[in-house]
Amino acid sequence: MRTTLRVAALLLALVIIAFWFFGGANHGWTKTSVAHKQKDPVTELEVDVYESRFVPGIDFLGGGLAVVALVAGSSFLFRKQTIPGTH
Amino acid sequence: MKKLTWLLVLSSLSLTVLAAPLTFDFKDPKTVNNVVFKTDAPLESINGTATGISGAVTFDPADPASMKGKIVVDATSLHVPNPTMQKHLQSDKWLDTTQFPDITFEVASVDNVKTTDNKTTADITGTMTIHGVSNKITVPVKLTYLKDKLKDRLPNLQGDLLVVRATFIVKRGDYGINKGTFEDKVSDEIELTLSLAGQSPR
Repeated sequence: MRTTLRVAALLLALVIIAFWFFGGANHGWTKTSVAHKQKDPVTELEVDVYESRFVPGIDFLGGGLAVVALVAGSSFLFRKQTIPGTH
Repeated sequence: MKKLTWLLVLSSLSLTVLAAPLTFDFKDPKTVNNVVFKTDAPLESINGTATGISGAVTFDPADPASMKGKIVVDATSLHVPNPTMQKHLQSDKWLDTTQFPDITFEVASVDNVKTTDNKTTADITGTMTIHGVSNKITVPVKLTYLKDKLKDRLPNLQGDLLVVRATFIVKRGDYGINKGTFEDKVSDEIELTLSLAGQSPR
């Protein structure tokens, strides 16, 4: 059980870091919309148009790694399996 | 002699009509009109956009200094990319958009007017109301009068456009928004950038 939890924690950490990194490695807060500029051809005014997109931020990374630490830490609650007759 | 008098009356009337200030409506059916706000605090930099613009301005291309009017920004249209931040921004702890749904600027006077071709720069003094608190401020603006250009934006309409651009700073503390607190996360100085186009159909 100890090993299973630690491997699960490691995999979860890798998934969270990869998701954050390939999501743009955003150093700000998590965004649920992203702005892109649009220009009106007549007035030449620019406006930020928002499209719905999930961009994980440092809060996502920090929260995810905290869960990983909990999972890994909980592995210490289980006793080491001992093979009978080894002691 | 009578004919000449009538001719003079008619020509002066037509001149009056030609010189009359135009009323520009800033409710934009294309939702391009926007106000961008930026706060740059030591711990956080926040950008957002409001697109709920309305209001009307009377503008005389021959006499820009006579400009009058009011621009209204729907505070509930303020958008920031983080949903938690958005909730905080509109809550009673910050803008309290339920109680104060409008941010307004009403023109009182126009000074330092400089016009070249269809472009005018000026300093507009007026009353800015945010969070229910009003302050008199002066804003440097750039105006571009686009005669007969309305049809290029809205093909079924004839008329003119007035483009207004302005960038200026307001202090949230002056408007009773958490004065002197949270300045490490939300700066006291908020930079506002207005990009507006008003239409005057004929």
